[in-house]
Formats: sequence, structure tokens, C-alpha cells
Amino acid sequence: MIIPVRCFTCGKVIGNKWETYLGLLQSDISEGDALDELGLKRYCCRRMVLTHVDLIEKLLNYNSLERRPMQGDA
Amino acid sequence: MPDSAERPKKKHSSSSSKSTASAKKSKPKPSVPRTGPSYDISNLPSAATAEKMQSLVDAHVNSFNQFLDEGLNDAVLDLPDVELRVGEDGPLMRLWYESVELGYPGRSRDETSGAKLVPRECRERNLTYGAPIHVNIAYQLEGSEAQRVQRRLGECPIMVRSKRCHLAGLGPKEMVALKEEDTEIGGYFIVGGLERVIRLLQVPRRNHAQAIRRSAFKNRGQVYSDLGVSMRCDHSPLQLGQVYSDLGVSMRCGRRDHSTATVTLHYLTTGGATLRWSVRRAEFLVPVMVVIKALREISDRELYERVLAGDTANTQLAARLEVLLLDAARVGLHTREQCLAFLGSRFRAVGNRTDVHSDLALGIEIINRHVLVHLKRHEDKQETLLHMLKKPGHLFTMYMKEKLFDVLVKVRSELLKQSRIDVAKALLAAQDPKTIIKLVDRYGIGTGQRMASFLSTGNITTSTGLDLMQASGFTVVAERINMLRYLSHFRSVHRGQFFTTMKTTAVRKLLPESWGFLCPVHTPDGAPCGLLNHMAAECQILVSLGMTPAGIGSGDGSTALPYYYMPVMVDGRVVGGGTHETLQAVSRGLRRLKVATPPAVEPTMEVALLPPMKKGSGPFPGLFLFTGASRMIRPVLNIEFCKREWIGPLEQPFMEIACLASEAKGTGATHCEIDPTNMLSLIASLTPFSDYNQSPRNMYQCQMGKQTMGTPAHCLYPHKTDNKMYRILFPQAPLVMTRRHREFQMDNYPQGTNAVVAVISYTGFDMEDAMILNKSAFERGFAHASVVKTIKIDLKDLLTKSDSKTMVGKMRFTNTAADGKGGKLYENLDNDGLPRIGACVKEGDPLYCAIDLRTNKTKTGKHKESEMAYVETVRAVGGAGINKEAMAKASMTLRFPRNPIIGDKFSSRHGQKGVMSILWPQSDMPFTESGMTPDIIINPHAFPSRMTIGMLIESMAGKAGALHGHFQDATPFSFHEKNRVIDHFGEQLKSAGYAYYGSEPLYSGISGTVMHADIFIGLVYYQRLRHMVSDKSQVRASGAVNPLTRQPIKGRKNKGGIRFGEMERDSLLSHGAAFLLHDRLMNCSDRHLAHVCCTCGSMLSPCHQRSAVTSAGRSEEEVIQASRCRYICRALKTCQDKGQIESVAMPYVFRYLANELAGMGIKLTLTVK
Amino acid sequence: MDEDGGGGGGSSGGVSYICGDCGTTNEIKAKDPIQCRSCGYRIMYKMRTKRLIQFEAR
Repeated sequence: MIIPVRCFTCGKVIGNKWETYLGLLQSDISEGDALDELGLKRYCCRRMVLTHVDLIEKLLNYNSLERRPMQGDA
Repeated sequence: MPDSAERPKKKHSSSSSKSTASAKKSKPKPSVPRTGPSYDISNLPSAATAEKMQSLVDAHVNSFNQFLDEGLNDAVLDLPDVELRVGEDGPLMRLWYESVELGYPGRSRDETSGAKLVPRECRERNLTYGAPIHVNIAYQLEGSEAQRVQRRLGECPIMVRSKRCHLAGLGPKEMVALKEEDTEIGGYFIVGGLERVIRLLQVPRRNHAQAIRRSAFKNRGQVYSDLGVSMRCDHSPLQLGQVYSDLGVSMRCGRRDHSTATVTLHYLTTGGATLRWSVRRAEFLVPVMVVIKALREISDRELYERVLAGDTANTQLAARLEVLLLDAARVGLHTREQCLAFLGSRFRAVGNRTDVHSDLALGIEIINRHVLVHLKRHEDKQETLLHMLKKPGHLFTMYMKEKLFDVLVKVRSELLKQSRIDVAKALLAAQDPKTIIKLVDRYGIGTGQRMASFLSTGNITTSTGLDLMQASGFTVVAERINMLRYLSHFRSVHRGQFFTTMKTTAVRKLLPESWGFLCPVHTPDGAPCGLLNHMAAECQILVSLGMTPAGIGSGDGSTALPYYYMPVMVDGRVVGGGTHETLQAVSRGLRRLKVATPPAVEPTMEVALLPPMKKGSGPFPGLFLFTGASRMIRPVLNIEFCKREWIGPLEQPFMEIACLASEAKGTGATHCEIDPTNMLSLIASLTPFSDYNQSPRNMYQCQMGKQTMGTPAHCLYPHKTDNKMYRILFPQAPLVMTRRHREFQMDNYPQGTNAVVAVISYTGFDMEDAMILNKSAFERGFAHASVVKTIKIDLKDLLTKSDSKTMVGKMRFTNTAADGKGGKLYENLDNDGLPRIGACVKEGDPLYCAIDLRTNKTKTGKHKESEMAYVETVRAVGGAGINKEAMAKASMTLRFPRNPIIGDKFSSRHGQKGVMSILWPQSDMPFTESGMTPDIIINPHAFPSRMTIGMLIESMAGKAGALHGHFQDATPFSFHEKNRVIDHFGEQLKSAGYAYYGSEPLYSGISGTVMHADIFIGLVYYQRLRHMVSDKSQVRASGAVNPLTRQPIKGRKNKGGIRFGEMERDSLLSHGAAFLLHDRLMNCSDRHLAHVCCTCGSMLSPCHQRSAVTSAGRSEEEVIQASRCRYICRALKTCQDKGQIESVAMPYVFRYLANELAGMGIKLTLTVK
Repeated sequence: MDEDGGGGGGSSGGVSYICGDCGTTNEIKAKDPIQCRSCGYRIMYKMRTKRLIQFEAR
């Protein structure tokens, strides 16, 4: 789904780091280094970002019907 | 605390990071970076992933395709003509099918004619995904031209993604455009909106003789011994002639509809033998000599010599032969014609044939004799369980064939009936195509419906028995609990319903033949253990015939083999023979041809060389070649030629297959496993480090993996309409995963969370497999989940049954009273009588409201469950007819939030399940030096007896993986003593600045002091299981009772109670808690005040003096207390006069017992003091 | 359509549905058949209201 707002374990806010993380990976930085870059030290927060599955991308494929009238509005 | 400065730069080498890196390099860079190795990054799964998933259901889809391409027509061609005589001496009429064809699913009956019907629409509209059956029926009156009619026999359900399905061959993108699941794999049917799968069924190998010792055989008659030999032959014995062909000719010409018949040879204690087969479920026993002689002109002497084959020393065989020959002679049958005529005369009635046919049927085949000869010599116990699979398409073909035949038979009988009434009229009618059309339509239109009902119930109603051992349980619903459950439906193989009733456990054992074909881990524990198996991940089922062994071999009886020769058989037909040494060379040569490029023989051919064993033991020796369909095959490495070779289950036990390439040297192994994990099923091979676990734990994980709340589908909202689905809200990819997990990109459907797990005894809430959940972790979304239910409303069902046919437009949804005044009936519903999207419904809230237009009465459907739910989707579904009726069907999807509460079940991937016992505040949790608190605390006692070392390794590996930022490889059998797994991950942990063995010092959350021992803490992938207290909690004070016994009813659904059984009673007794016992078992159950006559002791005869009406509606106590009431005993005059009636408290069942006894004429007398 | 079929209040009584195939918004009244006016599809999804709704925060 969408990345959780906070690390389950320690409560550090990680919800704002997903896009940055993707950007870092895009520029060919390894996962470990990207996590370091984001300032995630504890393994609890690191696993939150590392193992997140961004399912929403796949679920939104099926949302096309509702989206269409919205586009019409705009 | 390890800070980032201490942590070395990640220059580690691990297999997982390598594979990810290489994957990255080889492919063009996607717009979104790959964030994990086990799922497709972009919004669509790659075509490769879809294909991989698709390969799991190949057995189903290919089989159905085979049915469409060949099976159906082959079956029709195999159907005999139906004949009848019109009138007493009238002309002969023949009826037969010219061809049968299935169309494509379409909405043809809608006015949007010609539009494609896609599965998604069927699911949402509760339709059957079917295509029309077009048949060409020909009929001919004697002496006139044949005429043809083309008819449509209803709609036959179509397998999704088969060749007739509109989704066949589409990629993920097209799927999404059609609003189907992106990795839709098909392999199931949609019947009435439900997805149903035909189960794979294990049946005896076809065209292979097996000797059987079964004591039941003795019951057939006095002279019967318990020995038998049975052989499943490839073709159907619908008619007498074909029975012969089963044994002979047609086996060669290879009819291909995969229907089978079993022939069994029974040995008699007198030395004789009879052959048994069944025609339309009736069994027939024929002396074997009659059959042999009927097959081919053969003299007694020739036969004698052929069977004995020079083995003159074998006196037993010689003696038996003599008996057999004498048997035949006694009946007076000597020549072939005599034998055939004899058989024909006996079977005429069965054959449903008119008198034009002489009985001389078809086949002569030496094979038959050979079969018998072999078996004769090998009458000793020979218990080989050979596997062969009957695949859905084949079953489908067989069933369809029979139903089609039934239509013809019915038409025939109808014509016959007419002809009996009026010959002249019938004769005219028979020439009129309209009559035929009418009759075909009348009896044929239900054919599709019958196929659909077979799929929806799994029951077969058959007159021939179809050579199957069961009549029901052929189909199951493909539940989408999660992806693992869904996939395993298509990979499961059942042994057959019959075996579930067997007391002996022999059939449940895993045999050497099954290695690599059936997974040794993935089978349920309990009743179906070993009977419901799952195919190994690499195992496949052959569908089409590799080749038709039409021209091979002599088989004309000219080859008389000496007795020391072992026979060579191709698909059950003897083609020659040779000595063991020769055959060894032959089989080796065949293998070379198999793996050659291009293969010189069919690469899937099974070359089973069964070596001779000590006389009287082991299977019958010989070289058996199989090319037919419905066999399981799997790939192994042929060391000799360094090629991949497909092998089958029969040849496997006689081959030398090494597990590892390194083991193969010097052991004489000719083959080697491609991967040691190939023996595991897909689901079993997802367990990380399963080679470190005690084996039953891996079995448990296979069960629990299928009960996990995960991600059932991507098109969940709004396109999935399954009755119940479970969904976890923040799933993650496991940090520790096996190779196969990556291969199948299993995290497109993730089903768990990487939890920080501490193994520590803390607070006592973690005793006995309970686990403590961090309350703050829970509040941040850990293990949050919901249940998604779809409710289907059909207004037709709300009307009384008799009306339902004429209901069109009689009822519609509304939210206004009939007079249209007074505004909305229900504030919670919209004007259309359905709830708002996003509305919250509580118990008793209206879900829909409809009005019956005839009576002007409204009907309301209420939310019956005690749980609150949110309305996620409301679907209005149009009717199937052309009529423009108002909305009569709707369905709505409700979402029940099910965030963890105390009593919910969780499990790791190692069969370690536990119940959450408390949500513990984070402030009181133990914490590490970096201030981390665990998400989950489990008790160390969970490990010693269960020996799930895999879980400990996973914990370390997960922690190391998170620290280094990579996913770990956990494929079983990849570590060993020289390369220890503990060292591998210990080093990784050490290099990240953590303790080598995965433990950390923990501080008590209560006192803040450091604990004496370091605590083992790490990341473990946890699954949330679907068993939740909200579904199970049961409580009642008073409520419904069973009317017969007046005891409380059971079942959560009925608001019933939990059984207070014998053992519970015992425990109260042993505590001496008599009052409590009395309270529970009588006062709170079925306490009753009975009236007993002190004179005669009867509790049945006392009756109320006044009429019962006055006491109606009053409680027992009230009635008794009412002073004017008096009871009298009806039994005797003396009782009536001076009898005293006492009221006695007792359980009501006691009165019931007294009544039952009285019914049997037994009087129960009570002595009242 | 007769006006009685609609509910009370200012609204005409129709409820907005989205066609399951083409995505067109259809206003369906009590006696209307369930069929998209533009493509004839027979599955319609109810639309989520655009009205402000206050949820109980729990």
C-alpha cells in the first residue's frame, strides 16, 4: 500500500522519505547507502523503507472509472 | 550503540545483491527504480512474471484446450450411432452426431448482441461464463438419404484463459484494460459468479497392468481367489465391440478422448481365470479363454505353446493352462466365430443394438494374450502404486460425451414411444426434420446446464460410471484468501474420495515414485494428510499425446518370445522383447534420443526399465514405454549427455538420480537433480531456511501460509466479488526470501510484515505461545487489516418461489413508501434504496429497501452482523433479459475493519503460531541501546521442543539485511557444514557493529536497568492469520433452545452456547463443585418440572385436570402454583382415586427419554419419596 | 419518470451511477433499467458523494 507515516517500531517519521528514497535509487545508489543518506540508522526504520511494497500503484490501475469525471472537471 | 560511522561501507557480497545488480544491468532502466527483488516495480507486473504464474495452471488450461481442440470431437466420433426401428417391421433409423463445437462466450441474448462476455462481468453479475454448444446431428432412415440438423444445446461453461476465453494470451496491460486482475492466470470456471476449479485426481496409470491382491475378490464366488490383475485401458466401453477394441485394435489406432475402462482379470482357485469389465456400471465376468479365442483364431496347442513360451519347467503354469483350455472346451467353444457369437448373444441386450448387427466384433490382438500371460505368470503380490493423473479437461470431455449421448438416447426413446402409438404417423415424423429439431431441443438444451451444474456441485450423475471411483467432489471453489491459497488450488492433487474412508494408512505414504512430483511437505495434517498432495514446483502434467504410436511394432502374434525374454511394451501394447542386458542398452539408447537436439523421439516419453527381481517379488519386469497423456513429468539433469531430461514417475525408482552434482561422482548415478529444492511445491519452497526446521513445522507453515491475511487481488475494489476476502493494509516484502519467492515475484501479493521480534520472557503475557504486541506499533498501523465481504441481493429471491418466474418488474429498490409520501423511509439509505458509498453500517442498520409492487409492501435487508462495516462499493446489476426492467439485482461490498485485538492469531513462517495476549504500551517495553522496542515479544520456550532453527536464522538474517540494506537469500540447502549459515550472517552482523549471534543487551521497560542476559532480537517476517476472535467469540446467557430436548442450541451463528461436555463435567465433579454442576447442566440448560404419580410411578400419565387452554402461555411454575389446578393420573382407577401427584424437577431430556421408551413399550417408573 | 418516484427534498430523486465499462455518469431513477445510456453496459457502480461528510473520529 502506501508507505506508513511512521516506523512501526520507533515512531520515526518515514512517510516523507519514500519519494526521496526512490530518487536515490534512481541515481544508482545502493539501497544501503540510500537508507544511510536518508538518516535511517536503526534497523527498524531501515526495514520500513527497504521492504515497503508500493502496492498502491497497482491498485490505482483499477480506479480509472472514478478518475475520469475528475479529469473532466479539471 | 552502533552509529553510522562504525558501520563499514557496504561492500559485502551476497547472492541476493548480486542477482539484483545483474537484473538491473541487463534491463533498460525503468521509470521507477526497483525497490525489491520480489515484486515488479511499476504499476504493471512484467509479462515474464505473468507467464511464470501462468505456468502454474498449465495443467488445467492446456487440458481444457485439448478438450476444445481434439477431445470433444474425438469423443463425439467415438459415440456409437443410435438405432431404432420405426414400428414393428418398419424401416431402421439411425441417429448420430456429425460434429460438436463450442463457440465463444458472448452476451448474445442481450440486445448488445455479439458483444464479448468477459469473466469480470460474469463475476460481478453472477453469470456463468459459458459458450454455446453447436451440434450437427445427422439421421437417416433406411433406404433414404441422411439428413442433418444443426442445433444449439445450451451453454457450456468455459475455462478462463483457455482458447475459447476472451482473455487467452492477453498480457497484464490488456488485462487491466478489461478490468481483470493483472496476473490473471485462469484455469477455473465461473459458474453463477463463483470461481470453481476441477480438482486434479490421481488414478491408476493407464495401459499398464497391475496385479492386485484384494480380499474382496473372494466374495465374488466360491472359487474366486484374492488375486487379480487390473488394467485401465484408454478407451470407452460404451458398446460391446469397443470392449474388444479396448483390449486390442483401437488401442493401436489411438482414440484420443482419454476416457478409460478398467479390465480386471480374476484368478480362480480352480486354476481358471475370468475377465471382468463393466458396461454401463453392470459388471460382466467372462471366462478368459473365451475372450482370448474371440480375439484371434488360435488353436489350443498354439495357445499353450505361446503362453508357456518354452518354460517347460514351470509346471504350475502348465497346469493352469490346461485348466483354462479345458474350461473353454467344456463350454463347447472352439473357433473364434463360436466365441464371438457366444459373447455377442450374451451381450446383445446390453448393447442397445438392433438385430441387424451380427455379433462379430472387432479386435484380435496378441497384446491381450500377452497381458494375460504376463499377469498369469505373475500372479504373486505385486503392489506398485503407479501414478497417473486424470486432468480436468479429460474429465470434462468424458462427462460431456456422456451427456451428448444421453440426448440421442432420449430422442430415440421418444421416437420409439411414438412409433408404438402410431406407426404411420411416426414414420412421417421421422422423416420430418422439425420433429428431430423439436426433440433435440427438448432434451438437448439442458446439456450446457448440466455441465454447469457439474461444475457448481462437483457431482457427476452418470450411467457408465466413467471408470471413476467417486461420484462427487470433483470441483472446489477457488478461494482467494490470499495468493498462496489461490495458487495451491491449482496445484493440488487428490488421491480420490474413496481413499479418505480407508482405515489403512498405506495409501497416504509418500512413495519413491512421487519424489519430485508431489511435494513431501505440502500436505495438510489431519484427515486428508497424504491424500491431498500438491505438485512440486517444477512438475508438469502432459496434456496432448506426444505421439501416436500407430505404426510401431508387430503385435500381429508372429512374435513368440521365449520365456526368459522380458517384454517391451509401448503404451500397454507388446512390441517385442529381449534379455535384460539388451533392454538396458535399448533404454540407454532411447534416453540418448530423448535428449538429443532436436529430439529423435518424443522428449517426454517415459522409458521405464523394470529389472527382473527375485521370482515372485517386485513389479513385473520389462521395458515399458509411455507416450500417452495425463502423466506427470519433471526435469532432471542427464549427466551422461549433460542435458535436461523429462522423467516420469514409473521410471524414477529404477533410475540413479543424485541430489547434488557433487554427489553424483563415483556412485554410478546417471542423472542429477537440477536443484535440490525442486522436490518442494511452490508454497513449501517459500519457507526460508526450511532445511533448518523440524519437518512438521514446515508442514504447518504450508497450512498457515494459506490462512494468512494478505493481498488477495489488485482489482479488489471494485471488481472482486468473492464472498469473503482478507486484506492486510501495510504489507511488506520479506527481507529474507527464497529463490523461488523471487522467481514468482511473490511480493506482488505481499502477506506479512517484517517485525522486530525479541525472544524474551517478559511480563508473563507471553506464556504458552501467546505473544505481546507493542501497542504503539499497533497504533502506527502494524498488522492492520480488514475483511471484505460482498453481499449479493436479488429481488427475485425475496419473492415467494412460485412468483419468481413472473417477477419481472414486480419488485424494485426504493426508499419511499408506496404512496410516495412522507419522504425517505430510511435516513441512511439514498433514494435508490441502497446505502451511500463510505457509509458506516452498524448492526440493525438497513442495507437495502425494496418494494413489492403488487402488495405495496416494503422489504428491508438489515446488517445482521454485530460488527460495524463500511460500504465500499455498491453495484447495480442489470438483468440478463431483453426486458428493460428496473433494477432488480444489486451487490455491495462491505469492509469490516479488523485491526488486531487480543486473541488474534499471528505466525512466523516457521510454523510458530501464537495468539496476541495483550497490547503492551511502548513505554513499558524493554528497549535496546539505540532505544528500539520490539514490535513483538515471544517466549523462548517456543523453541526448544519445536526446533525451528530456521526462525532464529531468519531473525539474524533479517537484521543483517536491514542494516546492510539488502534482501537476504534463504533458499534451503544452500549452506552446509563447511559454509555455516551462522557464520555467514554472524559476520554480516558483526560488520554492522552488532553482536555476532544476533543478541543485544536490553533494558527493562519497567525498572530501566539492563537485563542480565543479552536478548536475541531481530527481524522476522510475521503473518497475520485469518482466525480472529471477532469471528469466534461466543457468549450467551439465555436464548434459543432445541425444541425437542429444550437444551440450548449450539453455534455462533444461532447465538448458541459452547458445549459443556463430558470432560468439563468430569472436571467439575473432581472438584466436588456439585452445585455449580447442577446449575450448569440443569438449571441453565433444560430444567423442567415434571409431575409424577406416586402410586404408579409414571411421569407420563399425570395430566392437567382442566383443559390445557387455561394454562396456555403461562410458565410451568405459574400453572402449578395456581391453586385451582390439579393434576390427576390417567393410568389407573386406583391412581385417579387416591393417587398423589408430586412435581419433580429434572432435565427435560429425561422426559424425552421416558417418551421414547414408552414408544418402544417400556415403562419408566419413578419412585418418589 | 413520474415525480413520485423520487425521494423528498429538492433532489430529483435520481442517484448517480458510473458505468462499469465506459465510466459515464448516469443518473438512475427508481424505474429506470440498469443500463448505461452511452454504451449499454449493465454493471453500474454507485458514485461516492462529493458532498462534505463528517465522520466520527474514533
